[in-house]
Amino acid sequence: MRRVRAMNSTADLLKCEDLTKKFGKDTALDNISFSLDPGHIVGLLGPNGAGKTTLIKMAAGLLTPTSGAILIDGDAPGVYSKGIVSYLPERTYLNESMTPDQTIKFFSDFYEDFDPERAGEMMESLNVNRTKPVKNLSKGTKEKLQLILVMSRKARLYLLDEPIGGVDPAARDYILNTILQNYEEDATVIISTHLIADVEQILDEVLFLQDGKLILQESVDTIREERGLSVDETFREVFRC
Amino acid sequence: MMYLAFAACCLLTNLFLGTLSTTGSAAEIINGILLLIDFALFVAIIVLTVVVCIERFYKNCYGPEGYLTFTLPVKPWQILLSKTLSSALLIICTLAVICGGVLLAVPFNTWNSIDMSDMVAAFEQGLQAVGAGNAAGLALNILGAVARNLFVTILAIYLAISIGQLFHDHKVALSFVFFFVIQSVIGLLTSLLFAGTMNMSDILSTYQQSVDSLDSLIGMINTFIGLQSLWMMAIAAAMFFGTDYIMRKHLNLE
Repeated sequence: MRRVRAMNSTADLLKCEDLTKKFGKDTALDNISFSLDPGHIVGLLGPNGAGKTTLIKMAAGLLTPTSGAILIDGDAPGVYSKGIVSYLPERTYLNESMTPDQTIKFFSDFYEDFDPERAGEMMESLNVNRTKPVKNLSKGTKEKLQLILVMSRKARLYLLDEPIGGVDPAARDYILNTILQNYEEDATVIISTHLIADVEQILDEVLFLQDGKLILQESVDTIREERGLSVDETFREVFRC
Repeated sequence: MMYLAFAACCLLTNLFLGTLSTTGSAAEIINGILLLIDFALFVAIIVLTVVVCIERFYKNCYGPEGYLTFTLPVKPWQILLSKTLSSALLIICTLAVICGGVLLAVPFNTWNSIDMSDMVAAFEQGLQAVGAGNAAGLALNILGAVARNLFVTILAIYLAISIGQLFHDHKVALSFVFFFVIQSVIGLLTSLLFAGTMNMSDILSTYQQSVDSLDSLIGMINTFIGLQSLWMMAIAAAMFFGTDYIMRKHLNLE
């Protein structure tokens, strides 16, 4: 029986409590705690190996914490959270023998909040061939297709891991506009990326991770007003080699 | 494609054996080659089926597609059940194709020469001797035994792959190791459990010594197969929930 649950729009949408993840002897996330409210676009920023992808995967339910807890709308990752979280991984996760049209059908079957018409329109706009198997699409087109599928859901939490990393600069603006236009106002979008300058104009808040530790959580306005720096400049200052 | 190649080769064997002279040395060589190809395709189909079952599960659950599979709003046991049933269906299709191919390879004129009325009469005679109820029970029991062995093997593969992915390195190699460990443990436990109770040789010796009724023999065989089926179903359930537990509590898609 499907779980019926009243959604609390003011509660923490994502909450981490003393969250730690270890891979063997390596610590990917080290005792981090933070919470995010609904209705924000959050940049998850940090150098390579900082733990960004690990954090996103744990929120998506693909990794289990070594200790601590991660809660989505008050629940540990599970059937409920997966119904309200829309996750874009940094790699291709679609069945390569499926065509884009078949992926739309697949997402429609599994996600109640998926809008197939919206997905079809975006595919037309981004010139994605809807009848070619995924394996015959270019790397950039596969990334566009995945982003279209993910953003065609009316989710409450979007987890986007490097959404613009593999596409050309001309397509980046379109993709960022797509994110802005398609996410619901009470939803939160977490974007993990190295291309800070490209996403800076759409961010409300940033999380800086370094060596698995959360070293900064601040709103973009505060950074600009109090530090007098852009997010890109702040990143360069914090992570200066 | 492999199914079609096997069927085509079986049909070719049928046509060659049925229409051409098979007495010449060249014909014998061609016959031999065709039968060899049939056998090679037969082995290839079985190996391919097993590889496809393993690859589909690994790729769908612990490979790149796992990122989608495990972010679907469904419970892990539902994913596991769907994978188990689809593998079972694939194996059943393969068995059906193999049986069909073997029948197809027999020349049509050979079928014509078989007196079906003799076979039907022999079947009816056997059925009368055993009893219709006994025969049906035995047939169901044997079918059940085949089915539970099928599911136990599939679930042993899935559990081994799931245990393998718990490790940071050498996941595939460790999956193979754990498959053989699981099979050994099942074999050992089954031997220990049934060694003290009954086995097939006991049944036959009991029958030869004192039981002169076919009913009793079939009853004992049914009891033996039934007990083993219950035991194997318990093992299948343990492996199913073990894999489900790993997927729920220890998923690590690195």
